[in-house]
Amino acid sequence: MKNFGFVASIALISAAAMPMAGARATAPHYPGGIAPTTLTVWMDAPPTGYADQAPSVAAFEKLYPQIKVNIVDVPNAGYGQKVQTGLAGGQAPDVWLWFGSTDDFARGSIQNLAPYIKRDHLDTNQWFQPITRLRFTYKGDYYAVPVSSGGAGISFSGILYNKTLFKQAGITAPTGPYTIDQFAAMAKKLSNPKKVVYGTDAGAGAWYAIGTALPWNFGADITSADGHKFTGYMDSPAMKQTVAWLLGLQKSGASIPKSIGDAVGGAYGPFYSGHVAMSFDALWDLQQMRKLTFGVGLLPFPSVPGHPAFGWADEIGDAMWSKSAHKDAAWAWMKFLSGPQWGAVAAKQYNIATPVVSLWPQLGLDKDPLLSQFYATRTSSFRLASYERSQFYFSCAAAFNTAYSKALRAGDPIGPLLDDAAKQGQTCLDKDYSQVAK
Amino acid sequence: MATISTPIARRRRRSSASVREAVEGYAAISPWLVGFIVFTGGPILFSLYMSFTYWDLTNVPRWAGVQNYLDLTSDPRFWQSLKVTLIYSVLALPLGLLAGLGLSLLLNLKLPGMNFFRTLFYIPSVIAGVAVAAIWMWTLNGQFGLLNYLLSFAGIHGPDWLGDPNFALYALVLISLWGVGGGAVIYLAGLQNIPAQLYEAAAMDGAGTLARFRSITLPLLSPTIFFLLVTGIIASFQTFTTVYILSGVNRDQPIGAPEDSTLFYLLYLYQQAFGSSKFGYAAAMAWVGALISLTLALIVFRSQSRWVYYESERGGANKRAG
Repeated sequence: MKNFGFVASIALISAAAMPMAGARATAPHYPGGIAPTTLTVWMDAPPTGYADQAPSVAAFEKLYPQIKVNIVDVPNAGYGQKVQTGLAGGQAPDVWLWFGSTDDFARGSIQNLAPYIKRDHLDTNQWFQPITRLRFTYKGDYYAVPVSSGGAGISFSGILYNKTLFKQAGITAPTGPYTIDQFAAMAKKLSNPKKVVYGTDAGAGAWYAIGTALPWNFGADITSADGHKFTGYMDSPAMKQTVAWLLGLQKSGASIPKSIGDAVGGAYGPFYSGHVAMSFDALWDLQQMRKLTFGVGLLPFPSVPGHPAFGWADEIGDAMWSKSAHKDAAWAWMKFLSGPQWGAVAAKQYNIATPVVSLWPQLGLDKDPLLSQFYATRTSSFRLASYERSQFYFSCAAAFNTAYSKALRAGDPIGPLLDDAAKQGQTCLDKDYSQVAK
Repeated sequence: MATISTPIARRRRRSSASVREAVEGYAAISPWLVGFIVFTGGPILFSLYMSFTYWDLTNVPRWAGVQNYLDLTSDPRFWQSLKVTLIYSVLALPLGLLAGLGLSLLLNLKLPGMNFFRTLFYIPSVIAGVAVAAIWMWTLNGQFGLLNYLLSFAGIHGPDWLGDPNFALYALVLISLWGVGGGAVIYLAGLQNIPAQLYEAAAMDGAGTLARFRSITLPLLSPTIFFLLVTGIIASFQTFTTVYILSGVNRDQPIGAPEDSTLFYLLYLYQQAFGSSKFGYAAAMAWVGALISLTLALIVFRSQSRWVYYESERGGANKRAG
């Protein structure tokens, strides 16, 4: 009886194992070894400017027929809140369009991509433009990859200038590096308030001191590299000098008054109305730039004698949910959307500036009359935009905007205002970071 | 066997009947009760718990005790947001009540085409807040705005209403009057409930228009004023959409711009929660805000015996006296 039981058990196990072995032998081959799945991808929906994703999805699904990509166009208003709520409720998308601060990566909800990059032997330095390293890494590891579709892409920036207004004012735009004094002199000469024409919009608000390379050229910065310090930065002599210079443009009448700028600005700012001759802009607005009829040129940021000159670039990326049940499929999608194959199509289809280094010369983008000028700025040194360094930047740096506004409106001396703003901001940062889980 | 109905047995029967009645009652309202507990009561209690934690929404909440509440006391922007909201309430609420009352008195006139005007004045109340903000942004522009254009005819050089911190909050008070038609409709309902014979009797006694307004309209409208006052206090602590749009129109304007002069309570709360992922802090703010508006509402409630006239209560009192 004992033997019978043993034999019967073996027979049963063998019988059970046979169909499994058969199934293994006839298992279909899935590209990339990824089992059939449906990926959920959240995009920041129009009207912000991310175009129809259907072509990229179709191209991806042709490569990976077993993966279906469900793109969800999440309304732009409150996009970040919706992502956070999804994360908190355990219902986050597998992949989402990400544009937060880099310390966002420390919170644990975004997948570290280092193992995938290592597994696929991806040389990110060769593949991506240098800004992506600053933008998407935390403690040396990538947590997001740049997007090559819709309205996204790498965003080099500089000072756009209106060729028609320059011609009317009899000014020849500089062909190489030029100084802040030259910039101010050109702006003054270009201004004609009777015709509602102004040399620049620099100085009309605090933005040039926050979101451009200008303060870096002065040797200044609003925050420390890790985004944890305002004191010593926001209140530094170099930052005071930067702000004083910007305010000087307003006082001299070379810069458009804020209320006029607001009125003629529209969605793309006053430069696009033809009332401003020189303005900071980035490649996010490439499609809009191409529509301008007055002739557009690009200047680098004006330099400050004795200081190195900087460029400015930014990027939007795709991030993967660390609790995604479809990580391999998610990575396949991210790699595809960031890669040269789709990048080449996207550059033509969406008229974007691809983050893939090799594609620029390959597609002749570096020869494009407009793109080539931006591309040239990539050789400048970059820093990460100050507001992308800290998750608490926008709530804690409000004092800077207030100081700037007070100086602009009431003519209060900027030095003490920035001293106070830095102290206030630092107290806020210290308190907020003390509450972050270690 | 005959049963003897003792007082104890009767009481027992009555109590079992009342228990059955209670069970049936609760069963009947159970959908609402469940809805309340799940969708209102539960979140309220959870937000109270949240306010005692540090929580970034993605990680597990960490117990903070009363630290979030203590931090509020040393946060200058919290006090600024409170100040802005209170100033706004003190100005916008009485102005809105007065403007609504005035408008309703006009709309109550027996004139041809009045229904058209009633609809016309109510329309702003149903227009989305975003659209309202866009309209006012243009109207109040310092350089090209309609308001300053009109002021220029009187030789007045109007300010940059929304760009100047000395005027921005007052501009928002002005904007709040845009929705005055909503209150006017409620006043109108109250006005139309006032018995006409009271006016007729007063007129026969020789009362003039002002006397009739003071002695009949206002007292009989006082419950409506009371209602609008209480809901207005609560609503003023919830001011958000228009300000959010107006103070966040471009990259140069952080929330509450210019210079935090429009940093409303809810705007700052929102920024703390969804801008800085400080949900515990934001929950503490929510509770403090709720307590303040509750206190103000309670003060108004306590004061109603002095100025709110309830005809039904007066009638009841008369009956009891009779």
